[in-house]
Amino acid sequence: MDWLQQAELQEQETVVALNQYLTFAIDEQSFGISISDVVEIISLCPIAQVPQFSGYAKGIINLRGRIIPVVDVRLRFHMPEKPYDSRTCIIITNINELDIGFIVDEVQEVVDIDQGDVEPAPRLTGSYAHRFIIGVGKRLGKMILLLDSQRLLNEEEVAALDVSQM
Amino acid sequence: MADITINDSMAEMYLYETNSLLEQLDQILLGAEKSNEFSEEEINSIFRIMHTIKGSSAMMEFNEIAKVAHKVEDLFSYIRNNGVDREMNEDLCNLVFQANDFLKEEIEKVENGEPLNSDIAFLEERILNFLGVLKGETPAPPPPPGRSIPSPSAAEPPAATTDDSREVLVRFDEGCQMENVRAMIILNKMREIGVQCVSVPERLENSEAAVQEIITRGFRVVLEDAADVGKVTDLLNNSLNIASFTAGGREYKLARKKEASAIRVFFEDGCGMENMRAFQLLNQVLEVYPDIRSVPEQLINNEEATQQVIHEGFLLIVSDDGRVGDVLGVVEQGLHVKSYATENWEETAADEAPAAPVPVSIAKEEQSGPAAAVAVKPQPAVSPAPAPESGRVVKQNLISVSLNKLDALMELVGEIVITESMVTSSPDLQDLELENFTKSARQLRKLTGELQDISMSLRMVSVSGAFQKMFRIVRDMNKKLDKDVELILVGEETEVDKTIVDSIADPLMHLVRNSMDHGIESRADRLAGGKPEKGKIVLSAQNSAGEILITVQDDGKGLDREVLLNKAAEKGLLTKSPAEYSEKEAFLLLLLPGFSTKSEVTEFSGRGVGMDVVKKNIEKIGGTVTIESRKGLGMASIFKIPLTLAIIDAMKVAVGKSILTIPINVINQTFKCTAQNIIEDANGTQMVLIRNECYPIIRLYEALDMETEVTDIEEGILILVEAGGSAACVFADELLGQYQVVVKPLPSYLSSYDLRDDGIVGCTILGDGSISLILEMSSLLH
Repeated sequence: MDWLQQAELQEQETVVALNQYLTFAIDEQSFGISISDVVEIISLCPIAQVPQFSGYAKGIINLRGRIIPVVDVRLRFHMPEKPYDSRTCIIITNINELDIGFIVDEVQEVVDIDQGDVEPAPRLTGSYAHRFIIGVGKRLGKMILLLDSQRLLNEEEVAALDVSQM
Repeated sequence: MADITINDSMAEMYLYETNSLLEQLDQILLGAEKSNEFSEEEINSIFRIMHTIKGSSAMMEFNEIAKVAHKVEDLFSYIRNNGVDREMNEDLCNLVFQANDFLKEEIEKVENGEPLNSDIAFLEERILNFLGVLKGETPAPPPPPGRSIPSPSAAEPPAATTDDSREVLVRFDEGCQMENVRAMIILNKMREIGVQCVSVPERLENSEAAVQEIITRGFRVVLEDAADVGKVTDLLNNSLNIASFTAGGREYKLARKKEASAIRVFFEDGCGMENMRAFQLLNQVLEVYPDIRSVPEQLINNEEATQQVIHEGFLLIVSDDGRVGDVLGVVEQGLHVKSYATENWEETAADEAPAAPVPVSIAKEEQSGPAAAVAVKPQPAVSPAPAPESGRVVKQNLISVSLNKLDALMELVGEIVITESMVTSSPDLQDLELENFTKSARQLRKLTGELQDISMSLRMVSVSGAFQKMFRIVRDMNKKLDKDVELILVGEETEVDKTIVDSIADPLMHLVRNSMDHGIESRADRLAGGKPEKGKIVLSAQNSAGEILITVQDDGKGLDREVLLNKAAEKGLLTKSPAEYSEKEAFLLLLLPGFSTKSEVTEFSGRGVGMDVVKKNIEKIGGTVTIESRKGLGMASIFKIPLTLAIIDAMKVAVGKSILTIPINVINQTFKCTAQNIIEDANGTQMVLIRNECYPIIRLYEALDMETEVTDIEEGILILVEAGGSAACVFADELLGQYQVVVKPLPSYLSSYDLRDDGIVGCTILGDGSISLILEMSSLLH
């Protein structure tokens, strides 16, 4: 194959990746996170507690020698805590060059959602989770709330992150 | 203005090299100033340093740096040839110090990617003036004494041109560079053999105009005595880079000597920057054999040269057969040299015919077999060029490695150590008789241990670099404050982790400044107090049980408890009544932010920011600062720093489900305690009495907000820890034993939580893969 074509194809692939989301469920509701932020998905592993962490940050884990902080998405969304079970997963993401793990009830699948099928986020309803939503994707009649991974770390944290990356 | 869009590795190399050269220059200057004399070797070294900086800066297109270096080089080239008066030494030192400082500042700017200072006129002028003074006052005595050069006058050269027989016109090889310097060399050689002459242009060094004139019109020398023509012809016939010359009305075209040898050097494939490597090699060779020529000649900023060096090799042409061995010695030591071969060199031949090249491959046979026979000729002791100093030889055995790579290696080795213990103490293997496995596992443990030791030692450097810098500070302050203080270094060869050396540089500087400024009294006061006029500051480093002790000690007036307390009270820094402060505690007040004992702010100290910065920096690398003092006799600041930051000995303790790690060096003792030993004060704070001393009890589960079932003092264990000048008993559930742990920093995501203030500095991965937090006691105690 011609190298130029190959390059083009690669470009297409990255465009496609932009429309791909990893979906996970919390209380039957599907959430989507851009696949480009996701590094890997691991099953639940022992979490070391860190004192003085805010409630939703559960602690740190050892991922093959790397120390990665983990955040419970339920608590982040101000939802009631639920005991972890065999379906509980940690999604390891890389946001702004920073590794962070998100604990979710269950990981579902990777889906393609065309930009045309994404509606802007609804105005703030009662749910705290909606603060993190950038859009609502529709797929097979189901709603997938698309998350802004940046906002999952709160503004302050994002700022702190910028400083520490300098 | 140089734009900083340069190749990174090239820039790094440049910075590294230039920085070390400048530091070397500092040392030389200090030495020269101390002995109040510039030895020939020192002058040569300064010249070489400036030459190298000039070359590499020009290549990196830092033109201002190159220009200043060039000026200093010119100055020293003059001094090299003509010597310098003793009285001028001090001014010369000051001038070169100034130039050195300027260069250092600029290099720092390059490092930080800031725009460079383009205003170098002032410095240039100073150097030129100085050169002028040198020339004016010391009429450059040529080696045969008693002769003086006829005073230069514009009228003379034209007058001389009328007499062809006394005029010598020299044309240099095209593009041989530095024509003015070459002309100078010839002129000096003429004077050496007793030929009196005047040159046109008269002013050679330091003058672009002279270079241009020599290139376009040739270098003209008018001899005093026509009888000297013969001597001069001989001399010129044996000089380098001369294309042709006219003497006594005859024109000589120089046929090259056939006995010249050439060394063809090939660099390692793909090592990059071949032209720069060739340039470096050339510079190294220049040190042992100054008459070297190279092909390609123009190396810097020349892509063609790079290609030529890659494909045809880099040719070093040695006109004197007797010195080939010296040059080969250098080539053999050169970095990235893949192979080299000697061949005969006939300059006149367009295509140099490699006659019987003897290729020598460095990589394969170091110093054995035929290679040794060709390359290793005994170094003649009678070399007129300065013999390579011992420092040089050592240097060529060093390579510089990016710290990031070392860190990555360290991390990996840490992982291997952990994984090794994970494997060998795997629960699956328990209760199994595995003779062979145990054997191999033991071997593996031994090897990983060694691997760990070696990878640790990679990061170890001696503290001398940080120590040596202090000479300069002491010197400057001696001058400014009119004090006479001697700096003494003890144990500067002590090796510590690189990060430690970097972090102690600033604290050391603050302490030395403090000692110079407030510690050591003025000359008069010292004499009045019955002390020798000369003050002393001792910097010492020593290893003791996994820690390094660094002491800055002066024999000044020492600290006064009352003065300290009054001052602290004034600033509102006291936390209890003055009478309660022990002497040690009073000294520690010095380290508080905003504390300064000196009323007026001087250039060097007095802003009260120094000492707390010292403390912060040292604590950052896990060390502690203590201060000792005897009033009237002096004071000492002592840093206790763990030898390495990456691996520590630690005690594991359990609190609830978590395992916490306490560095072993802060633990005094551990003990069980019964309820009757516990005293409770009015606030409900619990204390325990040990050997008639009362220690507060810190319950870890409370301090760190953790859950545990062990809350009864009799069930758990108490650990007496001492850190940062205070002591306390820490209460934990149980001890899990002592281990070596690899410290890992906490993820930066957590930096917003001020965990350090809560006493958590890092974490470590335990044998079973779980994580344990490392507690730092001094912040936990406060």
